[in-house]
Amino acid sequence: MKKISWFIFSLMTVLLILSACNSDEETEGDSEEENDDVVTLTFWNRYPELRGGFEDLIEQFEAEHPGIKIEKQEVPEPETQLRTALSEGDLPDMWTNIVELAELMEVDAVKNLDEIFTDDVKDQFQEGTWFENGTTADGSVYGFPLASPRSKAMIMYYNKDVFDMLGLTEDDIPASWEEFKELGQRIIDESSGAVYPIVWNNPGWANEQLVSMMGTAITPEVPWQENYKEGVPQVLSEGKVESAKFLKDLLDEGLMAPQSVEIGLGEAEATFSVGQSAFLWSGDWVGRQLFVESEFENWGVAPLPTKDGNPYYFHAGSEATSIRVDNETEHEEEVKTFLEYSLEHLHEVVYVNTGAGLPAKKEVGGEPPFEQYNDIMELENELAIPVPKPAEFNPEVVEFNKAYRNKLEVGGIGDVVVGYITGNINDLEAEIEKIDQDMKDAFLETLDEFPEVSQDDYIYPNWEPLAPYTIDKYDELR
Amino acid sequence: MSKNNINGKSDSNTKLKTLKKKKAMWAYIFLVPQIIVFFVFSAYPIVMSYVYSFYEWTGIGPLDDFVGLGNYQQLLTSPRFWNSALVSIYYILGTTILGVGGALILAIILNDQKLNGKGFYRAIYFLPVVTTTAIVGIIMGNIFGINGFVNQILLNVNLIDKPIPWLTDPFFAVIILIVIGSWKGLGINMVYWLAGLQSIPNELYESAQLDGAGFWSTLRHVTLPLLKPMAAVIILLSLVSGINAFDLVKTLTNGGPNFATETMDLFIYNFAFSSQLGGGQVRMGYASAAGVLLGLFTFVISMIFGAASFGKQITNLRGNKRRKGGVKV
Repeated sequence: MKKISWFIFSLMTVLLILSACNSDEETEGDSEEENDDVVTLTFWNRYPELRGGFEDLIEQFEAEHPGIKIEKQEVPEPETQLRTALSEGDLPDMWTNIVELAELMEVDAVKNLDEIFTDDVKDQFQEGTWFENGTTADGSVYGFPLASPRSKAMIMYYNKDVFDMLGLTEDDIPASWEEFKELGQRIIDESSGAVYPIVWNNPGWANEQLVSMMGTAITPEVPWQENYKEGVPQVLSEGKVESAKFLKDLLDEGLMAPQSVEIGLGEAEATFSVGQSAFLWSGDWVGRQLFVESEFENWGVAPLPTKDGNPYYFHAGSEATSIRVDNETEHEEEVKTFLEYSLEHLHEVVYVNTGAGLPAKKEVGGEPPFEQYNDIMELENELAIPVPKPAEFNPEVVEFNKAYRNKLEVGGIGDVVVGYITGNINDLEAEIEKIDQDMKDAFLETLDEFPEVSQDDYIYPNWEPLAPYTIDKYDELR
Repeated sequence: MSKNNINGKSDSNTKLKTLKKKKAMWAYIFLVPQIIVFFVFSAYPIVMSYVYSFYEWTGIGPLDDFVGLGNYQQLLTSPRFWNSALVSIYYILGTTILGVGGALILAIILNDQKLNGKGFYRAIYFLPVVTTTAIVGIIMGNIFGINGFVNQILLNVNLIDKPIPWLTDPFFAVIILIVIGSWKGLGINMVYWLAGLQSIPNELYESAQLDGAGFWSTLRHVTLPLLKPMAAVIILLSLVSGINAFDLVKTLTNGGPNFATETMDLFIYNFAFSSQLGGGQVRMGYASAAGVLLGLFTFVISMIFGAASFGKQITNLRGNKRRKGGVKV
């Protein structure tokens, strides 16, 4: 019996090993055969709104270039994944940016794209596309620009179904906070509480962006975290504090959907789409999300309401939405082919045809899938305004910024704003002041360590808030 | 003793030595893979995290910015770090008290010989142990959300007039984390307790019964004293596992609002991998320093608990040895 058991066991083991070898050989054979004909490029995308557009682009590219296959992967934790890949020396051939360019340059991980982006090609892009530590380093190109620098400003989406149901028209769209509250109360009353005036979301970054943008209508000299008149970091401003208080008022007065304090943007979009809220505040990319992901078409866009209805703005070129290329890619030629193809087609296919945002390239063809696309484009052009970028004036500030920010406990005021809205912080001003003071202290302390950087690099006397700060303005100061 | 005898003895000694050597050699051969894995995946990262903690480093590129004890200095003066340590302590103590205590009650009930369907109940209570924590976090987020199941029930039975912010109020959020963490570990603690309960000889219960002891006195004078050694191990395991709350906290509250529920492991992750949730920059060196402190914290907890629970046993053992020695003399 024992002998039979051993025999069966040995036989099974041998069969298992043989079958494994056999299947390995087949797989290897297949892939070798495939490898002979097709080169596979790996590409990581972190922007959910570009997912569909990239799929279309890749499909079209592969049809025209049967020898190249693009293996696209969506990365939900992009920073963690890219940093891990960087430390392991296992980068994809291409990825959408997440880690700062200066950091990538330090380890020589990113490819110079000057060969593709000649001066003529660069001229085909919107003004403000090329900037230090974003798309360029020392004047050379290191990123294939995707979105326009004049984008990403927050706007207000309104639900036309709700408007129709409650007999509201576009003339009722509120421009000031007071008007918003009045209309909000009307919406609550007329819908018997079934519809909330606004649904918001809880990530710290979104809260910081919203209060900063709304705040520029009150304190225009602080577009983000710097005051370019005084040349110091500044996160405490009357505009930001009042904007945060406005958000809390909305929640406390029942004008904001209560789940707003614990949901993400996707859930907020869903709430808006099903008509549970009349308004949604978000970026330009949400048009595509509403149209494609939520299959909701009956909406319009307007500027955010501000304290007195004054104009607000967002600093243009807030991030360099671009494709980076691995400096060690084994398929340099194929990557170049893809980027050259993308130069001709990407902005039309990925941005205009899907409505996912505004393309970095000028004069792009294509057919937006929803009529509101042009309204969004107009609003973004109006609201995303170039402000001084100290790195353009003195490239040394890139390292300086990194060093001074390393001394900070928190990177901004977003989480404090969330804490305040949820009722966990009583003295908002004191909490923001702490962060503000920490930033100023770290900034001034680091200035002593960087003799090549001075406070003057952050002072722009020729800057007027709300007026675009163009390249010639830097020359004026030089 | 004849010469042959001496030679024979030395031959057999040599053979024995060779055999022992061979055995030892094979033991080392079998140990090698495990030792390699240990050095590559445990010892090396631990040593390197100590090295990184003395540098300002983003995790990419060469280690060239030596800051000495700068990272430690910054950590020890950081209110955010101390808050995360406090949240971790609350979580560890909460899950240990609730999880270990609850599991003991459950194990005593399920150890009852007369109870029907014991296997079914044990499987039900063990199910959360094998469920992915991240999924538990997401589902519990929906259950305890403002518009979640719990608030709906409480509103429907008129126990509350407005939803309770379970996840956005720091007090409630920490309580919810503790409750869910305890529930998640209940099954495994229950299995440990059951193993301990089943190792108690039945004769002791029968004797207690003959002496007229009821349920409570049997529990107090027989069961619990005999479970003491097991209890020490279970509590220690629970304390140490409470330090790793990362996946639950990340998916349930993400450390919010305003870092009020950020545990030490989430603090480390935020600074090591997320420029948004850290200080605006990724700081692997700073996070490594926090990791070293977390390691020390775990070590100290284990030592304190070890001394408190095993100290008496060790003293007893020493006493016994001394007494035995005394008899010899």
